Amino acid sequence: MAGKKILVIDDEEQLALAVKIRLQSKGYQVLSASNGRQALEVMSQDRPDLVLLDVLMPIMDGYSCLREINQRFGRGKMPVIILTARDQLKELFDLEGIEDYIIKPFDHEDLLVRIERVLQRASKPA
Amino acid sequence: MTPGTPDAPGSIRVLLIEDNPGDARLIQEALAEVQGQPFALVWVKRLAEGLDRLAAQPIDIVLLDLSLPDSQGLEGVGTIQGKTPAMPVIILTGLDDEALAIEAVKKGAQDYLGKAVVQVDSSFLARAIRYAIERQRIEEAIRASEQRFQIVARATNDAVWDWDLKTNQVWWNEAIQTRFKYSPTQVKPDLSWWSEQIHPEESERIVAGIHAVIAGGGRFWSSEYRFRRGDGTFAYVFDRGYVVQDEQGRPVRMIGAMMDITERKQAEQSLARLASFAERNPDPVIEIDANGTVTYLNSAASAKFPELTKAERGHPVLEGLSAVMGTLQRTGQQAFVREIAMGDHVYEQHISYVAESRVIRSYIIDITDRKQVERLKDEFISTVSHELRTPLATIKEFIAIIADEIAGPTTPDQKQYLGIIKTNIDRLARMINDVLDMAKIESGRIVLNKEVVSTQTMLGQVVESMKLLAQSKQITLTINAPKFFPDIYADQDKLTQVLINLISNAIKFTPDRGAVTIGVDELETEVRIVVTDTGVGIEAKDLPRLFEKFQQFRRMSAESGSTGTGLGLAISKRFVELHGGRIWAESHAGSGSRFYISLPRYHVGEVFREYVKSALSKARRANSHLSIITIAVADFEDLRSRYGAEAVRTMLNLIERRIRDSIRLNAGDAVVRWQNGDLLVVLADIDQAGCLSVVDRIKRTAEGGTYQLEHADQRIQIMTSSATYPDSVVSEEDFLRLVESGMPVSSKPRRRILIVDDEPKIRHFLKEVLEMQGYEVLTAASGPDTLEQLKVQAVDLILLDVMMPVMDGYQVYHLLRENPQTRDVPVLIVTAQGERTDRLLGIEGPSYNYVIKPFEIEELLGKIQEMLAPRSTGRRAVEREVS
Repeated sequence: MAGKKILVIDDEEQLALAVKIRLQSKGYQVLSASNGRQALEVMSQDRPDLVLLDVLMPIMDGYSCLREINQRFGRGKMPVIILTARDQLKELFDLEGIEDYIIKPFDHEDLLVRIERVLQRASKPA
Repeated sequence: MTPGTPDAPGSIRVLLIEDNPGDARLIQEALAEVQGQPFALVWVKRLAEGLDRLAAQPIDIVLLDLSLPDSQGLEGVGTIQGKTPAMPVIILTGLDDEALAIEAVKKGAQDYLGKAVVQVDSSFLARAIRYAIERQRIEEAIRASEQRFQIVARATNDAVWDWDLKTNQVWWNEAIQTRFKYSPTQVKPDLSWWSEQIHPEESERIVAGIHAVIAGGGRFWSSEYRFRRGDGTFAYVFDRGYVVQDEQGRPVRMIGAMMDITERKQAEQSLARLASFAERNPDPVIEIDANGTVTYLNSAASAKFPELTKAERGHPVLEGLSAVMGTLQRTGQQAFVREIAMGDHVYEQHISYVAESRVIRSYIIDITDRKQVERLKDEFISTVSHELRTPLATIKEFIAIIADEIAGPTTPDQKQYLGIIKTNIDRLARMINDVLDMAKIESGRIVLNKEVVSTQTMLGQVVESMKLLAQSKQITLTINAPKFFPDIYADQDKLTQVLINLISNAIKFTPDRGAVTIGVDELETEVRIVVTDTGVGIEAKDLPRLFEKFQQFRRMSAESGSTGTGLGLAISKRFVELHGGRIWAESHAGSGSRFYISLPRYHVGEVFREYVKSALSKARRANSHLSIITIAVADFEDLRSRYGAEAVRTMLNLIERRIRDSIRLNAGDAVVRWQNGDLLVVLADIDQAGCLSVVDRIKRTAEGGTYQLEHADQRIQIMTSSATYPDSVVSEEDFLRLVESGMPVSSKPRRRILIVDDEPKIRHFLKEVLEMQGYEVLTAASGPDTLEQLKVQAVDLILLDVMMPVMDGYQVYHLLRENPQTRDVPVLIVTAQGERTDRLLGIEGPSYNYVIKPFEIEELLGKIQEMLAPRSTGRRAVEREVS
């Protein structure tokens, strides 16, 4: 799945940077945004293959961003992995159009496996 | 007028003792002259003769001459009254012995009369006789009444007093001593003693009050005051008196009784106190009767909810109260608490039912602030947890990037240092997690994500993760494998955390080259996990506080100075308790420790269904798929009898592992697995294509494949089936039904229940209900019928009605318990309200329970399930399987 484009949306820019370096080392292309609005701007210029979406963010949070993504690309058409704290897990189940979630703080191995899996699933014709 | 002459009716019988015949004649004549009242006279000459007469015939009065031959003067009076008490005596005197006659009167004679006077006027004599008789009668009456008074005074609990107003002497009955704890010498018979014992605050007022009544010519007085007891304490008394006046209406005595009303007074005070508690309670207190009408509001209630004073129905605090009352009545529960939101406020309403007066009492607390604080606390915990974890995660990630040499090569030294940094960051992370966990536990915000967990898998993972730590001290870390690893229904993350905590402690406190062993034990109602070490042990005095917060026990650790937050065991305890389990330790200093976790066994079928439901709804929400794959082993019974249940189970585990691997290859996760007997059920979040490829793979590798069973090559046949939601099964209901039909629940032998009731309608109804639940149902109409049927049919449970003719339920119960064949059959007794306490005593046992009519069907089914449960999933079933 190397060469796929992943958009990392997280207001914790340094943590996002670590994720970016890790993903790049695995051969992914990485786009970054530090809030939902910025992410939507990035996506209007460059369509990613997968979105890593943090929930708690200023300006536009993960939930609103997810709604926008579903609206723009069609529900479930853009693979999204939610990054969340365990506390917010319950609300997560009410969300539609997410492929997977990962609980912060996460292990990069786990993240890589999940990304791989979601991309694999998305690449198959439905 | 001689002895023997019949007396005229109504005549006064007079005995004359007179030695002088002339005087006697004189008296006789005088009496004969008297008009109106006839006299019957008996005349004797001597006292001895007179006494004989008195003994022989009724006499109303004696006329006694003072100078008789056989008596001298006064003695005669005493002798007569000694023989015939209360006999009136009139002394007859000559002129010369009047002084003596007066003396005789003092001795008890009623009167004296000069013979000369009788001579002059005969009416004198008659009058004297009549007066004497009358006076004697009155004196007698007074004496009797005095006696009665004494008896009453002695019998009463009241302290009775008699106060002579002239002398101020006061007589008290014994109650002053017994009731008020005085010794006889302490009680002084005068008024001042009494007034001194009155409470100083009241003494003056009370004494003045009683005197005012007397001075004002009043007859009655009463008052309440505090009266000192012999031991110095004060009693509350109610005292009332009656003023006795002389003939001129002057007060001479006062008689009264003082009653101890301390208990009544205290009851009154506590009543008043209780009333003021409710009344002055700043929180609203209301009382509602059975009709839902408000019968009491304290002032806070009327102030806060003025609309309630109109007894308005439909008010939030009145809503649903009749249902609450019904529930409290039926279940015998004491109280019920609910939260109500009204406007911007949140209230907590405590409701209790008072059976005696059939009312509901309720108090309402405004918990708006508490709710606000709780919310802030939650927000704080959530924020802090985020704020602390993010920088840690960032540090960790960058260290990993450097260590993985993504940013360029590192030297071996740098690698080692990075390792140290990582270890410490992990430790810091653990501590932060501990503190946050504790905070969450204490705010009650822990939610368990329970699932069916294989203890084998879980323990395997835990041991795997602790291996390095154990190896660093050359400690052997082993699982003491049981015959079967039981499944538990638990939050795997939380339980793993508990186990890691226990095992890392065990390793920490065990010297090098020691051993830490983990055991699993399946008991009737619980699953126990035991962590045993060969470490330094814990002193007995420390054991009780072991699971409290911030308890750092100086177990002599090989590595000194290694300390945690002191929260690990406290968190473990709460986590285990949240699962409805227990955690405890056994240890002796110097000889190692054992830490036990016990978790309740779960009802597998229920949990499985529940879990499938939630997996299904998750799948629906996430717009994904849920597949079920079932594997059934052919000739299972045969295999098991040949190789034993354990070998077959191992084989099923092998198949399960292949299924899991295969699911993973199809980018899915197995969300639930279920293994029971010959059946293996796995649910996975894969679509139909994935599911079919899993099934295909299992068929190719397992079906007809060769498995190692107890050193023997055995080819086994398996049958697979699968379905996927929403691909092949569109509706959730259909999927659930499919899952349930594939579940071993249906393969379980049906449990047989015997319904014993003399009422055909009830038998029929219960039979229908129980059959719908999948039970096999037999019925019996009477006690003898029951015993007959049980001779030929074994049952799993008996539903026994109490009220039956011929032989009632209790008799049947006792007969069942006497028979070895039926002794252990669970009996569910159906009884009417009120019968429970007296009749059911003495027959409880592990296989006994009761329901009270009228009952809810759910309650009945719940109890039946409960009583049958230990057999259906418990060890007994397993043992039967083995044999």
